[in-house]
Parts: sequence; structure tokens; C-alpha cells
Amino acid sequence: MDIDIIELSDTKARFVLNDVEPAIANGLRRVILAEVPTMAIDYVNIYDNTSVLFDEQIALRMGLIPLITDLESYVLPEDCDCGGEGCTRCQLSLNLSAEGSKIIYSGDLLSSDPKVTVADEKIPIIDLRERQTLVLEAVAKLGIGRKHAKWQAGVGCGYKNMPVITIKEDCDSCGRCVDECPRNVLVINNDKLEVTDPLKCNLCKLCMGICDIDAINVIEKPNSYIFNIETDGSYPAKELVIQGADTIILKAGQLKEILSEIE
Amino acid sequence: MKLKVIDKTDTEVRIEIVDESHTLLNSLKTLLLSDPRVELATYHIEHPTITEPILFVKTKDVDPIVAIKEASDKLVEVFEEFKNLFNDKASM
Amino acid sequence: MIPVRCFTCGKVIASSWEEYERRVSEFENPGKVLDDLGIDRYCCRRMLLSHIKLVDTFAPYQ
Repeated sequence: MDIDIIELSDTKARFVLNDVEPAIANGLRRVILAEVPTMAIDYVNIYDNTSVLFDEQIALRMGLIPLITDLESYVLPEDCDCGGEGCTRCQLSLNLSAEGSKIIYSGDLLSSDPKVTVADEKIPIIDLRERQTLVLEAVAKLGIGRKHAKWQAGVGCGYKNMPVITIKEDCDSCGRCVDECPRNVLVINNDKLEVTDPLKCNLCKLCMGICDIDAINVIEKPNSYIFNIETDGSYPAKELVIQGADTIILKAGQLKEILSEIE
Repeated sequence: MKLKVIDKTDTEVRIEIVDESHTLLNSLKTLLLSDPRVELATYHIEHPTITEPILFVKTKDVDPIVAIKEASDKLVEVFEEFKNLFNDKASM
Repeated sequence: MIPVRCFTCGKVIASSWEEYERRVSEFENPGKVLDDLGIDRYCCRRMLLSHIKLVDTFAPYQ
């Protein structure tokens, strides 16, 4: 196994993963998309709402706001000692009380835990007008993306095979493949065909189709993947990848433990 | 996670794995097949939302449960390796 | 109100709406504004491009 990190920022990660089975790469993708626990608002007590949106719509908007997740202090409600009824180990509350006329942003939510706050403070929740009020208490819980998209930590997370572009000696630099390529991967430099950035190639193979003398060849490198991961803000990208791996490790550990019991 | 053993003989086992999906089972299946003592390993999800996946393993000269346990150990190893490598590269 | 997340991929797009709306009203090219805001995928781009702001129409009613 080998990893080359191409880009790593707070919200995005891009890396090449070499020498792993497709099933492992897909497992990693699936776990980041749908099975890393994150914090999201799950229950909303609305005390007063005279805004133009229905209570349900407000509650949905609240649910979709990403919250910074602290997995050390919180557990999933189904794993909690309280049995999912709700205690300080598995939930926290956020309060909002506002009167128009102004736009209410996600940053106006007051969290009871300073470590778990909204990840993006600029999300407009509702545009309140004169004499319209909104008073509510929201309860946030941990959950997984498979249950509801609001708990999805990794967005737009996927991989593609590593492209390998080879140009043969007999290429006559006619330049037709350069025009054909939708990603502008190929250039003609000093009368010679060159590949600028193979990572940009989307393996469409249009260049192979247009070439009359079969001088260009594009193949997928087996067991090598370019991963693209983006987070919704609940974790930094690096943390998310590591949490993904941890989640699978936890699952495999649980499976082994249960099997030892029934053996 | 909960397990329900549907069938079990000395060389074959059929287990229903409650609350799991392709995420775990596909990787597990691949690792089971890389074991030379495993003759057949596969899983089946009849319906993606209403049924649970069923894992079927057929082995020779080894208890299939032991084979699954070893495969899950291997899975832990693979992801531990990935995690450490990613951590090293990311903190560089 | 602009949806909080992209319907397809789940990216949070609502926080980009105000800047997008302001810059487009100043006759900037919407495509360029979306590029600047880091909204690359077409599923997220259509969320902002095709959004119709109705809150002003409803505002007089309760």
C-alpha cells in the first residue's frame, strides 16, 4: 500500500492510493460517505414561529446545518447507557430566539457545548420581517449518513482509476487528439505531443478513438485510485479519512468479537 | 451489529449480519477469498432496505467461523496500515 | 429561502448564496462567480443558478 497526498486542506483532500484491492477502496469511500458518525440537529421544539416558513421547513433547515463534531465527548444514542432516551453523553441543545426584521443565520444558534458549534456561520435560516418571531430549542445527536443525509460528513466523495497515458514513437503530432480531449490533458510542445497532467484525465478515451495510427494509448492502472474527498465542515478532511478507517476497524473488531462468542 | 447463524456445518456457514452493508461485507469477502483454505465466500442482499445481508462461506479443512475471524483481523490490519500511512503523509 | 445543502451531493451551498446574489446583481458572469465560490460540481451549481427567491412574495402573510 502506498499513498501520495496531492492536496489536503480543511475541507478537501485529494490523494492517490496505490496497491489496494478495489473492494478496500470502495469500502473506504462508502464508509466516509455514509458511516462516519457526525453531529446534526435531530429534534426541534418550536415555541414560537410567525415566520413565512412552516415549522417542518424550519426544522429541516436546522437539521441540515453542519455541526463541528466531537466524537470524544459524545456517543451514538443507540450505544448510550441511557438507551437512547437522551442524556448529556448523547445529545446537546442549541437555542435560538430572534425577532425581525433581519435575516437569521446559523451563527445565531447558541450551543450549550462550546466544543460543538455550527461549522458554517453564514447559512441563512430564515428572513424575518417586522413583528415576525422565531423561538426554538434544537436537540443535536450523533448519527450516520445512511440514516439521513444531514449526518453525512463526506460530500462528493469518490475515486477513479489512475490513468496511464502512453504516446508511441510513431506519433505524427497531428494535434487532433489535443482538440478532442475535453479535459485539456494533451498539448503539442515543440512539435511533440505531451501529457500535461495525467490526473486530470477522465479516461474517456476519445483521443484513442480519433487517432488513425493508434499512437496514443490510455489505460487504467489496476489497484491504483485517485480519491477526492470533501467534507461538510463537521470534521477537517484529514480527520474524516482517519475516522473512516477507524469506523471500519471498529466494525471488523465487533464482528470478530461476536463470532468468538458464538463459536 | 448482530449476527444470526442460519446454517452451520463443519465446512459451511451462512450468517445474517444485521445492520451492515456492502461497506464491510465486500471488503471482508475479498479478504476471505484471498485465503487458500476458503473455497467459496460470497454475500447476498435480497433487498437493500428491507432485508439484511447474508454471508456464505465454504472452506476446506478449517472451521468457516475461524476463517471469517482471520479475515476480519486482516481487514483491521489493512485499515490500520492505511490509517498510519495517511497520518504520516498528511503530517509531513 | 435557498436550500441549505445541494440535493444531490449534500454540499453546503446556502452560505454562498448572498455573495452569489450580490455579485450577479452587479452583472458579473454567474459561471465565474460560482467558480470563485468553489462550487465546481454541476449538481451544486444548478442549486444557485436556478434558485428563485420567494420570501419577499410571502413576507406580507403569516
